[in-house]
Amino acid sequence: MFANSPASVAAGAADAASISDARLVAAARDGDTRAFERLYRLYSGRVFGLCLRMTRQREIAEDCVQQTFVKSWRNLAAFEGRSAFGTWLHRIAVNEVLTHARNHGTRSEGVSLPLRDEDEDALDTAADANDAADGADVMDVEKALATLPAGSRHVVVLQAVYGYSHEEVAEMLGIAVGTCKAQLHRGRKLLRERLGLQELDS
Amino acid sequence: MKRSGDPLDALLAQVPQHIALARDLWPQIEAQIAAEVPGAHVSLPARRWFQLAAAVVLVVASSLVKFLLVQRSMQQQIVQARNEVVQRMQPVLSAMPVRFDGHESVGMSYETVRAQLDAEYAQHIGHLPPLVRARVERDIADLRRSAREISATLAMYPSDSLLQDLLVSTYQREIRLMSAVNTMAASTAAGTDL
Amino acid sequence: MNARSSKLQFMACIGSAALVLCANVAFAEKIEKRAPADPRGEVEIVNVAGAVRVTGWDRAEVDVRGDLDTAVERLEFVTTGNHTTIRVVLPRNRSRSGGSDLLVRIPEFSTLRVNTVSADQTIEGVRGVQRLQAVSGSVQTEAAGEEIQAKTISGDVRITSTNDAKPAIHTVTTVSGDIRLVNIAGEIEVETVSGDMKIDAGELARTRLRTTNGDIDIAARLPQHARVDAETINGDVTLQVIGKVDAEFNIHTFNGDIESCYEGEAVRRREHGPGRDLNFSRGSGSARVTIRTLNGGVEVCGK
Repeated sequence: MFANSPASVAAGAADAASISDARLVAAARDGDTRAFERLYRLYSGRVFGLCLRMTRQREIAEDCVQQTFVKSWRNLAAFEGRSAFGTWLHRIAVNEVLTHARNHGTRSEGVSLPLRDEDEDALDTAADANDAADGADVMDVEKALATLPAGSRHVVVLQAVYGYSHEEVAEMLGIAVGTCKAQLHRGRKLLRERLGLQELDS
Repeated sequence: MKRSGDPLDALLAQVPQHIALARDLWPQIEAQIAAEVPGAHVSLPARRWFQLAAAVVLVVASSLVKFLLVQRSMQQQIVQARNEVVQRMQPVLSAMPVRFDGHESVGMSYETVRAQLDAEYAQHIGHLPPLVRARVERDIADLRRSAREISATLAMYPSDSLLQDLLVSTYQREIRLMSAVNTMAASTAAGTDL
Repeated sequence: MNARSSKLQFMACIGSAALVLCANVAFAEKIEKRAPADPRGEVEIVNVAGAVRVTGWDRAEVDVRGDLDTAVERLEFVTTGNHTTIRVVLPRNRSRSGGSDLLVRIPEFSTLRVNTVSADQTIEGVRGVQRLQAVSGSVQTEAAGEEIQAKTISGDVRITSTNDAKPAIHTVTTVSGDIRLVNIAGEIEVETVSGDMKIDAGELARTRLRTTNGDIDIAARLPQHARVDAETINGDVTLQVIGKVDAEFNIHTFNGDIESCYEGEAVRRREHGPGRDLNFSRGSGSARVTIRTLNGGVEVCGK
């Protein structure tokens, strides 16, 4: 790997970020709320992105974000640094979403509901802010994602948007790896249909 | 699995991971955590003495403490693992009636052999070390869940030969697995309890 | 806090650590035994926890050395006819064993049986038949031309073929252990529930691979008339054919995707269900590859 290659620069940036996180976590563990606020500023967008796409409702997603950070503060001593801090936050967030769904009797499968206007606005803003992409295409994908049944949607979001492996996704959602793979396949198939994309095979 | 050139992957790659919150939640979070007991800022000399005392106690009592902790940890892990397995796969932990194609049963002789193996399995599984036992139970439950999934799908597509082959193969695999576990667990129990 | 206090603290820690270490070492029993053995006889080794390392040598003797855990009642070392048994015996209802480490040297053409619970097994230089069984320990051995059977529940298995090994029959079964076969030639039958299997650069004459949740990764040569049969329920299958391809491929999935590097071959929908098939031939099609999965994906390429 050459010293200034994109890969080495990215790797270096990732290392620097994780060192910086480690320092912030250590300080927060000692009771430094300003360090914890810094962590909130760094990660709230990522946590909200996950919560919003899993719950499809902004108020619930905001509650999820709030509870995720409160619980992570309480359990900082349990964070051992084996995974990235953002991954650990996501695990807590997924738990919050699933707990909320269980407590409020949300349907886990079946008919999917269209997005409400205010929730669509939240995703619209995110799509527009993504300079690298065609905003219209991204918005289509966000809308299509939102129409997926909960099981497939959770798996597709965690795996395809946030890059977690099958094993990680299965563990986060408390399902078997095989179920995860089947849900991913079904979710991708539905997305293709709803986005008007052709099947890979002839 | 690589999907080079798949337009769906290209679209999903563009979806942003970060979405900005419309309002700042920090004040509410700060208010909630302010009620928690903050981490103690222990003075440096006091912390050092504490660390020294803890290190000495740990070193001198390391064998005994490790024994107790490992025993308890293993018991907690087996209980937790079992609870997870039971919670997720309650309907399939016990040997459910074998169904082929969702309608026909496989046959009494097979059911008899299977029931016998299952009874031996229930007897022998307790001889395995707790963590190994938890893994085996999880894997057997996965296998049985897979059989149920295939069987249910076969009921929808009864002429699909792939599903038929996979279901037969899965039932055979279950038998072989239980036999292997029975044999190995029995030899574990013979004079070598753990 | 001054430098003298820091030094005293440091010395106190080191002293305590040394005391405990000496105490532990003092109570392990060292063993060293040797007996004549049939150069093509059978050797059976049984251990519960710790490690078993077996090396083949050119003497007609079995030599065992090692450290026995304090909980061990005795080490049996018995030769009857052409059969030698080395067994670590624990008292009945003994609830814990820290582990005994055995280093055993046996005639290289012996038939070897090793049976352990949580002891790891490492075998080198044994050229006879091997039957290896571990509950949660790992198994690592060399294939030199005779049959190997390796079974574990949660331990990993690794078999590497020596350069001069002839093709042989190998059977590997685990429940959740991973399996790695390197440079293996002959007939192999591998089965696991949740472990992954990786087969590197072997020459597969007859191959039967079964897993429920694990992935199958094969990079191998296919000789004339080879048969490869791979099946998973939820795992992915990746097959890289090394060198000349002279085979017929039949690939079926129900929910997974199929990707092939072979140009011009179309994945079709299955006739009686929602799955996919890919069927094609290369060369005379003398070898036959069959891959089936329910939810997993399949990738087939040349290398």
